[in-house]
Amino acid sequence: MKHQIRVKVNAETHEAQVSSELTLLEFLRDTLGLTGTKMGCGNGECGACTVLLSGAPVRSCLILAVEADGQEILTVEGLARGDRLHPLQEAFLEKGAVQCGFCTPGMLLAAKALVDRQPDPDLKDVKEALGGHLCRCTGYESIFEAILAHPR
Amino acid sequence: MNFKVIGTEAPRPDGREKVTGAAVFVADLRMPGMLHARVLRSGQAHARLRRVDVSRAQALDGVKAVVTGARFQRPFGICITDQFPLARDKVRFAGEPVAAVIAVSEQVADEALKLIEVEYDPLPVVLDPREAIRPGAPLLHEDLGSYARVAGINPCPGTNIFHHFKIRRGELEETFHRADHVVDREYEFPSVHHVQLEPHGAIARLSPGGDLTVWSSSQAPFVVRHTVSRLLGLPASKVRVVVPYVGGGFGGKSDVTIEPLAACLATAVPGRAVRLVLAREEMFDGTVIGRGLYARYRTAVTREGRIIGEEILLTLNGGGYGDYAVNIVGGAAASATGPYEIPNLKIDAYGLYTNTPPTGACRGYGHPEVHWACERQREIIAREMGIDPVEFRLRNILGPGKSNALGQIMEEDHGRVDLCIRKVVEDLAGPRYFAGRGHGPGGRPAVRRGKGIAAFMKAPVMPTNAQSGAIIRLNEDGGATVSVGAVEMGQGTYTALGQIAAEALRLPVEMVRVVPFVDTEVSPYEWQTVASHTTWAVGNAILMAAADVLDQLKVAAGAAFGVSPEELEAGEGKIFLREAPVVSLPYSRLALGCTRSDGSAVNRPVIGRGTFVPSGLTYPDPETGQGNPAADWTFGCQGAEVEVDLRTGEITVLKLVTAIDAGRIINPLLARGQVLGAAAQALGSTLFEKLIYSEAGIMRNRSLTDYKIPGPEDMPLQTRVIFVETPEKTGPYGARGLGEHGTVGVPPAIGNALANALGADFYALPITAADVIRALKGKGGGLRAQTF
Amino acid sequence: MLRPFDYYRPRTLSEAIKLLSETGAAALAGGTDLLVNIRSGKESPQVVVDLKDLPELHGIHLEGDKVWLGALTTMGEIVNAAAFRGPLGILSEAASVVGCCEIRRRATVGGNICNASPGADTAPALLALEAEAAIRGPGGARSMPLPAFYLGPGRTALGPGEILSGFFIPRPPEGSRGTYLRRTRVKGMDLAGIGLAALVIPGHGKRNHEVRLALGAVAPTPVRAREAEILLQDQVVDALSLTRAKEVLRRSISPRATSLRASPEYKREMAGVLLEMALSKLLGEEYAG
Repeated sequence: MKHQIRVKVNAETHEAQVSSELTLLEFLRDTLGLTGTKMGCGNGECGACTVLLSGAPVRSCLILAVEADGQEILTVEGLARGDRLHPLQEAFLEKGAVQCGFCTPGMLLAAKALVDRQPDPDLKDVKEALGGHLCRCTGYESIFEAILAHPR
Repeated sequence: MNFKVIGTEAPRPDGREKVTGAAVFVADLRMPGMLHARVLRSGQAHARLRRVDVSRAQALDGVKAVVTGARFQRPFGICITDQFPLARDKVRFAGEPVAAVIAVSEQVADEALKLIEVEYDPLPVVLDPREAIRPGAPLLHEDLGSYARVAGINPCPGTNIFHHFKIRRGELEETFHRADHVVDREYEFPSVHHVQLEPHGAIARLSPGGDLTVWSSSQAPFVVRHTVSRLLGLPASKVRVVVPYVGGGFGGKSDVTIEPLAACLATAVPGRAVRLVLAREEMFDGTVIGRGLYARYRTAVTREGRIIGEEILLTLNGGGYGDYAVNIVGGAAASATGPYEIPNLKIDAYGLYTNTPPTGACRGYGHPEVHWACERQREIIAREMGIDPVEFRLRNILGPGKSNALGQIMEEDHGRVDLCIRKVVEDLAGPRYFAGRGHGPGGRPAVRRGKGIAAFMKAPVMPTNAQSGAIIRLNEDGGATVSVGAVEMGQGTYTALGQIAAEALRLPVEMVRVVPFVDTEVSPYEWQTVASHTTWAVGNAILMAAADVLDQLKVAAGAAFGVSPEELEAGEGKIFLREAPVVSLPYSRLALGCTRSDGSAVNRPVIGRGTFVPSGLTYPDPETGQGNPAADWTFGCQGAEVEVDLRTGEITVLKLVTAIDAGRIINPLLARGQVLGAAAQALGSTLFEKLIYSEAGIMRNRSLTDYKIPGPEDMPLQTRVIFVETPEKTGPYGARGLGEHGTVGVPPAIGNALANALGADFYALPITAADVIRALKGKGGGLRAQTF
Repeated sequence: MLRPFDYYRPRTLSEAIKLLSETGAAALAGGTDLLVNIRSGKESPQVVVDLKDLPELHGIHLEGDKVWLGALTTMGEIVNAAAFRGPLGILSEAASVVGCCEIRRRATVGGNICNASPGADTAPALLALEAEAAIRGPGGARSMPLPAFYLGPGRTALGPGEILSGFFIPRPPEGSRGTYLRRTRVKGMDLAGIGLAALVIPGHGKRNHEVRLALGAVAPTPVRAREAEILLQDQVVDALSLTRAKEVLRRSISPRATSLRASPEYKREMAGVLLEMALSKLLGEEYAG
């Protein structure tokens, strides 16, 4: 079964025909070619597929594309303004919060949702916001540091 | 030495791509006409394959091919050729590929899998290597004796032992006779999974011209090329392996995993790219797992606290196929004593076939496993003898002039484990540190705290002739492009190697680009990106290539100036006359060949070449294990302070300290990231991680819901990394490996801290809240726990 | 990729009921369980009926002396709702530990209950609050106490075409306090190895209180622990009564031997420990144990 959907992804409007069972993650990666959003588990356990749906962080592997109809989506590709990185992206680089980079897009979006809501979070807030995000490379500490230190 | 680039926090060249989502991993690649493969995996852990009927699957619309083991006659293997890309007559673990479907979409392939009929004749299952070693255990490989294998492997045909490695030093029996105290304990480090965030992926295509290309998330592109070319009977030059960024490896993407299968599938649909990207669940039972070691330590000690002898039995779970685990057996044995000199030794290390997924490399490669045992054992000995555990360690420490288990004599530049121990103790020490039992912090009777340390050593486990190469092309702007065969999987290798190249070429780091992928068709050969040896080995190759570049530049500039090259120096991107530095030529003029005023060419384009193999390494003696197989060692010490809730058993790691002598640190930010990341991974092994099987051998926790790894909230509240920098004389600018080492001492440091806190010894990992409660109730026993 | 199915997003309850009456139809709320189950093959619906546009399933408001909680209320909304502070705070405490931020943004309380996992975090809280499940279906509206709604692991009393529309939660008297405590393997995102909800409803004086207890992940369904409640009812909670209650609680549960999250032995032990921790938190100085 196909559905016509209209979504705004990174400020660009897309109209597409999607199958019922297509997940938002697959729509972003396979239909739109936005492969910055990663598939790490498909069960909502790792956080690599996190995107912002109408400003709030969600697991794109657990949402159907058709459910997102009419909404705005922000993916990692939409964080920078042209050549100018988002302050969180800068902070991640500066603090060594990036290693293999596979969890990074999801981490960045969860962090963005946090600082959008709470510009000056403390460590507890950061840990809570990243609570469902797994990273196997860094030991998280540099990620905490990046979010706490990011220029506002 | 005055460095310009070494020791700086140079930014990662891959950083910008990774924070913008532009970095490409295998699963992100799209090929024209690409097909999708899905694998039917055995639901039986040990069985004969009676019938595999794929006719219904083949008939499904959208299915291009269904492949079974019948298609492939040749086994593969790097050390022992003991497996097939798809099971042929027998399956040896649940999860083993039995058939694969290639279809227009994963969805269709998935539907087709359901139409494949497989009949099995189940066989008895053995999951525990301690049972697999017993006479009469179910035999996994009846033909073990006939498998081709490389030198130095010692299988015992007719048993499940695929490798038996021995170390014999001195006289053991007499030593135990004269010992004042003997401590005899058993330890368990269970099987775990690497849980790289990026699932394994491979895309393979056989071109009409007969060339095979594999895009892969592999740490070992040249091993993949070798394996695939032998498996398919293709010349190595016709197999091309391309590795883009890898989303975490930790050893689980080394050697080969899914690539032989992907390559074989591509031959079934010539001309079409076939994409095989594993689901998370398949990563658990369809790639390699890690660790899985039982250890028994019997130690002879004198009244003065000297370890005079040790008898060690190591039983490693190899899983269904032993190929990947062969060298873990030897690596674990070689470091089984920990960083101590023990004159009399008898070590027997066995690799066992069992019906679990195969055990492969896993960050630390045998070392965290044996250190869990030996550093718990050291703590217990010290306690039983009433000696301070720090003092006990220092009395037996391996230092310059002393000999390790292999008979290699340590030298000054090998590093200072004693200093690492002192630094950790200094950082961790409080008034009650090591003073008997732990204590409860003020006003919280339901909580106990304790501290513990563990010293460690690790050598790269590698072939005696592990090869590395580097090619440096100088560009017309005077900058350099450096090609290496090492894979970037997050560790920052291209950053560190770029820094080494920049320093050696006397260029700013921004003028040096390390090619951010490996393509076996153009990249220089590299054994594989494992064993924490890349900075050391590839760094050395880069030094040679850079020297070659500078030599060529000096010859060229000498010809241009009419002076001998010996009169010239390189610096700041220029070649200049030592006596008159204003007389200079920038690299940019020389890079592609500079010309005289009449247009005649002075020199040819500058391409530097460097190749490296470790020198003087030899196979260990098959009877005594003595020899020179290890090239360098990284020593260190880790310490932990823990807090335990006595009501719930919940363990909180308050502090984790690492001191590591990794020689000269090339990039402190990256180095710290490696140590902390490794420690976090080992924290998972210590407190949470263990693969669990049903009696029939089905893995029960093959998902991130059921196999928990540490999340942000599990991190120690405080961490510290201390670098002790004793320059390594065989390393580039004095550097040694450090990628894996942060894993090695964490489990015993926490185990020792828990013993300190609770007065209970834990022998098996992971140590869970339930184990704590059992220990507190005195219900220990076996390997779980014992109170003292 | 998920197996193919058809997706409908009905605008009216009657349309939804009709769609769900067909065999092979599954209701979709937040999707955090359903899509996981479809991916694993545990469920393979032909039709997925998205309930999110049904107004009857939304909202938190007072209806008489009860609070109406729409089934589609997300965990995040519960955590932020003023209604779930004070006497009803137990529910927001439970909702706050479900999954992680992203999951709580989507996961709904109705979904949490309908998935009928023995360890669902909101279930012990709703049991302790004596919530009533409101059901709409081909036969009209009906309601039942939550214990009756649970038939077994993954099984509920919903018949074909029936939808859990929400909960009626009687407001406990002012001064009532509850808490939800649980044990997990890791400190962060995890499913409960055991969860315990405790609600203390004050009476007159030290003795005349009511204690309600409910547990998750200790039996085929989330359960009330009435035997232990009786031992604590109208009693001064002291070392003696607590020891007896803990013992009864430990004996009253029947945890599965094969759980990957906690052994039966640990669950039994923790049932008592969590009870003690909960009462000490709720009764504070009054509790002498």
